[in-house]
Amino acid sequence: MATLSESPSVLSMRDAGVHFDGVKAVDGVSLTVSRGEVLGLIGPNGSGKTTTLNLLSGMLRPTSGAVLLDDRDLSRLSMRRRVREGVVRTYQSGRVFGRLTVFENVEVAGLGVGLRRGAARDMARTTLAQLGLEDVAHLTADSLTAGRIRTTAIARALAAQPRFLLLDEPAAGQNESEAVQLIESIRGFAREHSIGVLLVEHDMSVVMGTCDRLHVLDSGRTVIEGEPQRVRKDPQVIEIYFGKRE
Amino acid sequence: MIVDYIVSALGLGALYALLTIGVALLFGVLGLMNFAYGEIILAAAFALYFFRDAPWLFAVAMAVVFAVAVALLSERLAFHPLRGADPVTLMIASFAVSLALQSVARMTVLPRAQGVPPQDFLAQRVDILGARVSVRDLVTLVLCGLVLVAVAYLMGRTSLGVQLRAAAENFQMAESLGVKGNRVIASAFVIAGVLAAVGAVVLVTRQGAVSAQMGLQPMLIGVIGAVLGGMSSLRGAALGGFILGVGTATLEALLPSDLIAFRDAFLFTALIGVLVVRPQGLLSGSKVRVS
Repeated sequence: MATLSESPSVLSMRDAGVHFDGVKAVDGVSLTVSRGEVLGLIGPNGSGKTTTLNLLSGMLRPTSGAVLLDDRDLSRLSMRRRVREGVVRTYQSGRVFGRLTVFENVEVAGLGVGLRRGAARDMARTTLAQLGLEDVAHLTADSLTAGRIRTTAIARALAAQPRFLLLDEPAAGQNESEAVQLIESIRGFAREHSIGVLLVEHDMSVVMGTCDRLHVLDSGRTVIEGEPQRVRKDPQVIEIYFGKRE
Repeated sequence: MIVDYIVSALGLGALYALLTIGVALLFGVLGLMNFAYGEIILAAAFALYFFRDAPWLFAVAMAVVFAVAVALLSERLAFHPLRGADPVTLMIASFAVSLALQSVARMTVLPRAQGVPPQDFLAQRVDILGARVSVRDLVTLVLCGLVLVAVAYLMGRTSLGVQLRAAAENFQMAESLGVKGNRVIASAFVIAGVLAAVGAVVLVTRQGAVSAQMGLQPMLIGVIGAVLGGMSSLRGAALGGFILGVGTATLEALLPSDLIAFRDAFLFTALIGVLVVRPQGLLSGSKVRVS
């Protein structure tokens, strides 16, 4: 557990880029997530949000630039190694192990970061209680509603004891008030456990009140980063979100 | 008569379930349809022949050692380098491993079938509820039943089991959560090896002989049982194997003697019927992988 006892405080991407067949999916993006804060990553479809998350989580390697944990270069580390460094992600649409129970889904994450079975089960119990999933803990994940599956995915990510949590549209498919509620509870977690959260979201109104800072992408490049109020007034953001009607 | 039939049907069902789990486990974790499973059984059977004069329990232990060794070696030498390859490639590779091992066995140690004299105690019969039940059938039932319970416990109640099931469902996602893929895969091969060894013990006892091609039929039973139950679920696979075994024993008991030779024709016709209705297998979800 030596790796976890160190406490890196900042996960960042420095001038990172990746291209597929010559098309730059992400181009020279720099961003920083500090522990305890929620950074919202927003932008229209195809702007490079998920690709950025893939770069940070290790699903993709950057073709230029670097991914850093404090000053340490993570760019070449596999996803599994990054999980052990405390960088944990969820997937769009909340992919979980459908044939495992909700409890087992969370337990696996604890085992994955090297907890013994007893500790992993304790961790699962606590996390499920905090997210209000105790009553479905014994059900297979397949049998849950979409919203509960997403919450299970978040519980599983939290059970890996992340220092940094990368969430890919955790509230997709939920209405605005549910989404805000879910993200508020994630924010509570982030503060309580000092977790840095990067939240990919396409709905501007959901992130406005819930994130500490916003980072806006368009066509793989950074448009602006800053506090929600400032971002909302940015002419380029207005252009992207309101100028061309979706 | 009826007690005799029940013991033999349940025993055969448990044996087939065990063979099926061995096939389905590797398929689940690796996407590997392992046709070399029969040769893992062969390795165990050969150990039983090689140590035929040693105490029976020692021979059984060596059967487990041989089977696990061959399973792990085939993983290391053939399947590990192909990690992430197309399922068809893996399947062809497993054919190659199967034929290679079988040919090596035929060229070296087993050019022709060799008899393995059955243990005396297995040939006896005991009274159960007024019926004379063969000890061999009883041992089959108890041994396979115990192994099935052990596998169920391992898969359901241990941290390895949870990780195995997670990896079987989505290997990449499990690895991304920190699950050690290589260790999980090696464990799956070890478990498959142990199951193959137990299967071999029962098969050698029933057949009284060991030959280079003896793995073919049990491997096919494993594959067919797994397809019947649903490849993507171990529980389904076990059920498929069990039904196949009970079906075989039932047909043997019910068919007139001149039709027994066609037992498998009846059985597999029924199987085709089931698959027409449920192509994904009995207990599987909608996810079907055809290859």
